[in-house]
Amino acid sequence: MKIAVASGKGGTGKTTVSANLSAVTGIKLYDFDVEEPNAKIFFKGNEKSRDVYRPVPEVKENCTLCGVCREVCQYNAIVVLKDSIMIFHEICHSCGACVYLCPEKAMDEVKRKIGEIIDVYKNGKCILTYGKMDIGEVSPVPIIKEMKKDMEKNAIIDCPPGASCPMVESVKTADFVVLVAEPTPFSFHDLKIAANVVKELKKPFGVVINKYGLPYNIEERCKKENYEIIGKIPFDRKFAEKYSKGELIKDKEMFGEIYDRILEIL
Amino acid sequence: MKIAATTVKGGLDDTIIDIFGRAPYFTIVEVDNGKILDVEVVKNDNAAASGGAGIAAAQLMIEKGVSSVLTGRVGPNAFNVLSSAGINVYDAAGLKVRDAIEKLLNGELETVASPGKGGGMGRGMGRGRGGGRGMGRGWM
Repeated sequence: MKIAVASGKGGTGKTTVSANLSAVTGIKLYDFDVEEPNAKIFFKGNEKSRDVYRPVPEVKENCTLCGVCREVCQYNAIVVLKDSIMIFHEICHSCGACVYLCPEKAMDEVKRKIGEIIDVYKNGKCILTYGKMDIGEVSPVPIIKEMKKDMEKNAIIDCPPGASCPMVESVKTADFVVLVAEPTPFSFHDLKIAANVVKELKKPFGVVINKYGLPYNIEERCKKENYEIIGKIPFDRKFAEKYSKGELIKDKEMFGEIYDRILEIL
Repeated sequence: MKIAATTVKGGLDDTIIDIFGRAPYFTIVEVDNGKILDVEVVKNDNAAASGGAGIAAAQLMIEKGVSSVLTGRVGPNAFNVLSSAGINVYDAAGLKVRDAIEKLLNGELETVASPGKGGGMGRGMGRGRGGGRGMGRGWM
């Protein structure tokens, strides 16, 4: 079973929930938030890294400067100069259109490094896999796709924030989605967007309210939307203190209950 | 020779703005022997592109046979293309197109020797951290 932890708004506690769920259940954690992976703060160990690449075009000598590649490029990544072609790999989205449609077959695909996937081992056991995107890259999706290739059967996924492609790519693989929200209008607004995405993907989901106890009544609003609340993490200074030291909450009861509730729903 | 200016609406009496890739209109002026022969106003179709607007604008300059660009700041990618194509970039932001051309012909304009801040406007790819992270518009 794969559980994805997403949120919509960032900073609501995805990593807190996913890391603690992983620690309490012993299910391996995958940090798909490759633009800013932070689950590693809680899971230290020996790191083993491998590079991730994506294909980008390169011009061969038989190019006639006809400009078809530039016309088909939807990302303005190609420029035709008087006597050469200029390609901006960092803007290229690896769609492959220029290579496919070149009438002279004058384009090749070459590999461009876009990030790394890192396995963290403790006592010989891999406890965390996280991705790290290189600065300036256009999309984390290829790294997430690569990470999904060899996942364990049971997994907890710390998703990227938002409700766009990286989040969709991460949530798509899950059997259940935990949406973490905090009692603020902003978080509730984004929670609804994320919930709509998850519904569209036909995934069962439940809401965990973090910083529970803040005055905004998110609980009532969730009920109105028919969102099931599967857990509450109280607004408590000691949690923030632990986080700041890189320590897990490790509350077996609190996170165990969330996990049990997920199993019940499934 | 052809001189292009980055303008809001276009025309000799429009004011040059300091945006290159996302300028709404390019005013392209053909000059010969100090005289203005022709004025063409070209809409910038890539002004609202999600990315690579500067590159596309630079490509347009090449296609139009422009030899000098009158603007303010040019992003690094566009600057790279323009300099590879041998197109000169001059700082003329705030001047009227007509006046800027006169100054250019009199050698009174400074060239833009390095890329300024670019690639910022209108991209909408941002993800803020801390207080809240945005709904970054992604890809695919």
